Amino acid sequence: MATEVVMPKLGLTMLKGTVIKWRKLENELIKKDDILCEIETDKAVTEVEARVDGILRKILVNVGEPIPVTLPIAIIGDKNENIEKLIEEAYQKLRKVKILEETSKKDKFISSATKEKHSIELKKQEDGFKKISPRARRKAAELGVDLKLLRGSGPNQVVIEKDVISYYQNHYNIPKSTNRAANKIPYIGMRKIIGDRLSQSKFTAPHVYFSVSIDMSKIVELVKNFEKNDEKKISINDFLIFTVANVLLEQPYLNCSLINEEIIYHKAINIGMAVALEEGLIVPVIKNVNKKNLFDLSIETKRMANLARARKLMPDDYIGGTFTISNLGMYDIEHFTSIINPPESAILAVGTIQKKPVVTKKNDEKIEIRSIMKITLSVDHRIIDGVKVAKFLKRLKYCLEFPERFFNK
Amino acid sequence: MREIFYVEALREALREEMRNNPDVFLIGEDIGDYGGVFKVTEGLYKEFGAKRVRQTPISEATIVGTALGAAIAGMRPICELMFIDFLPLAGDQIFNQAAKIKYMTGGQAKVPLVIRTNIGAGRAAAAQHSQSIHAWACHMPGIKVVLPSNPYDAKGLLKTAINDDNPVLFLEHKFLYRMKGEVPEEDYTIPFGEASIKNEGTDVTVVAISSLVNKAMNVSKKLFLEGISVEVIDPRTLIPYDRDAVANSVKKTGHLVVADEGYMNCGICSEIAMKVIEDAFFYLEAPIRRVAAPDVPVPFCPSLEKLCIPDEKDIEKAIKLCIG
Repeated sequence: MATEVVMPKLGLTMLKGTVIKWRKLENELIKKDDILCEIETDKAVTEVEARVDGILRKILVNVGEPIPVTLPIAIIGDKNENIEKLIEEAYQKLRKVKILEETSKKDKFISSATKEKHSIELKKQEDGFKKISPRARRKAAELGVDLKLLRGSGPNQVVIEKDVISYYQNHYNIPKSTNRAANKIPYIGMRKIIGDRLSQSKFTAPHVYFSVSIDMSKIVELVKNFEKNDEKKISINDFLIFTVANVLLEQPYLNCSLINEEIIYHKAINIGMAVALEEGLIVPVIKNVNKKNLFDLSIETKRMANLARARKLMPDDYIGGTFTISNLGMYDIEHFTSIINPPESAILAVGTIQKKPVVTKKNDEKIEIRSIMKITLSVDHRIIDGVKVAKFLKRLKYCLEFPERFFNK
Repeated sequence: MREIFYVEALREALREEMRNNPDVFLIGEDIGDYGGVFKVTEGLYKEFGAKRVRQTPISEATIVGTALGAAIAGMRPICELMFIDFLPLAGDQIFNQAAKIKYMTGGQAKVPLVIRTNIGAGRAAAAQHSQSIHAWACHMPGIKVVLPSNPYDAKGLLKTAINDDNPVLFLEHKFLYRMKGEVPEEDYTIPFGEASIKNEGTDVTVVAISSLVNKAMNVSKKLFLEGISVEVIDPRTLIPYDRDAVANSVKKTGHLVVADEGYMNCGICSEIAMKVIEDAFFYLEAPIRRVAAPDVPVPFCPSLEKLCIPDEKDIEKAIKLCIG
């Protein structure tokens, strides 16, 4: 009994996936849970497992072609089963022309429809192979347009010269003199997704910003103690995440989202920690931080950071956040503002720790050198007010400046 | 300007050259009193007599062989072969002798020989009287191949052929003999190797041979009303061939359709297309389309014969396939 293997929807917002490698070949024996292929979404690479036993009778899509979720990508069935109809239906769904390949001579049934498609007019449409006319290539080389971005309007979806020219006119509004000197990269993929989300967030939520300086001297000391053992090393970031989560537990007003005219105060406290990758910022989420102790948290943050850098995050790993922390301290940035990560309503931007002379609040005022860190909280003013923010930050500051009173060691 | 028939234009060329030069003579079957099977030589026997309008037995090899000898000896013979289908009978004389003698004698012997014949199907003349096998001659170095598509070109090119010191295969078309066209009274010639742009256009280049030039012109008029601008080029001579004119045209339009009445396989269309690929590949927007006769002997039955002759619908279909 043949079944379709479909492009899986691996996350709520996933619309398309691309097969980047087939692990099994056509006519190979498949056992349930065998890995069939590797699929790439905009954010991560995942493996797709077989749900049934059988033979991989037909691979319907090629490597590198984005396929909408739930559409068929392969057919698993018995060795001698007639899957002609299934293939036709699958291709119809994929809106492709069926090619009668030599290897399918086992399938005795040749429909008249496929015979017509054999005619000279319809050249073999290699799935995913983008046809570009020589003239278009020439023009693209001349104008510096990336052919990968073009859609063909010529017969058989061939990219022709006018596609290149119209793309150039629409996207490259630069005078010719700077054209030569510029280095151009297309605004696509992860970069574009991040860009679109950030724009949407900034344009929807009225951002207000609140900054405090925090004396991190004591925490810096604590971190030094752990530095000897790399494995168990707890970072400043870990302290931050832990503290923020626990303050949120006390003051849940910032742990909310505005969704469809409702303000939802989340029970879980899932903190996203921004990780910088070459292609953009990715924010893996640590779930239920308040339920973890500092050591477990530290292990988890290390694990997430490694997964993120290896591009092996599962969609589950970066959705479901309720609050985000973005730390540019390691780059010596003193102060900056972040854009809220929707559907969250607040984000904490953390600057670098600098040794500064400060007036200490002891009985007699003195000037001491302390490690000072500036943090800036951005909030969505539609649902969070200044006073609540002030309270939150004051408490956060206190917990970070007097960790011995806050942490249970 | 006066309008005369294609056949009359040819006759004028022959008459004028025979009057100019006593070395020019005609040789072929039934060209004398009968005036030739298509009446091209009508009246010439009366004017010039049996020594200059020579009739022969039914032997193409004899016609060409005799003329060849006369040409080497210093005369300027013009052979007439009744149909191009009979070319193979004179094959050795044309391809192995006439085409090569100048080379093999190191230029000492020249061969100012003209062989006139005709191509084209459509008269229910069946497989052996309906072919257009000029591709054979194009494949043979040493022989020029000329195909006029209208009375003006016919007269001018025939005069050039007669005055050329090399073997020239001059190909008329059965259905063009009764075509009328403007021909000046004054003397003129048309050089070989110069294509004629019959219609200027910007969307697609159509290179057509012989009678297909006129069909392509009709198609271009029809498509103009549909918003498609067709450039029609008549190479006029296949050897020597004006490849630059065609290449420049394709550089402008980006699309090419080639139409010839010969068989498709290894035909004229393929060679023209390949030359364009060599000259203008990076200017092409789409694959080159060929319009030619199917690779079957021409049937006798008229309705089947019709399917074997490339027509305006085929040219239009090819154009639309090319530009989408």
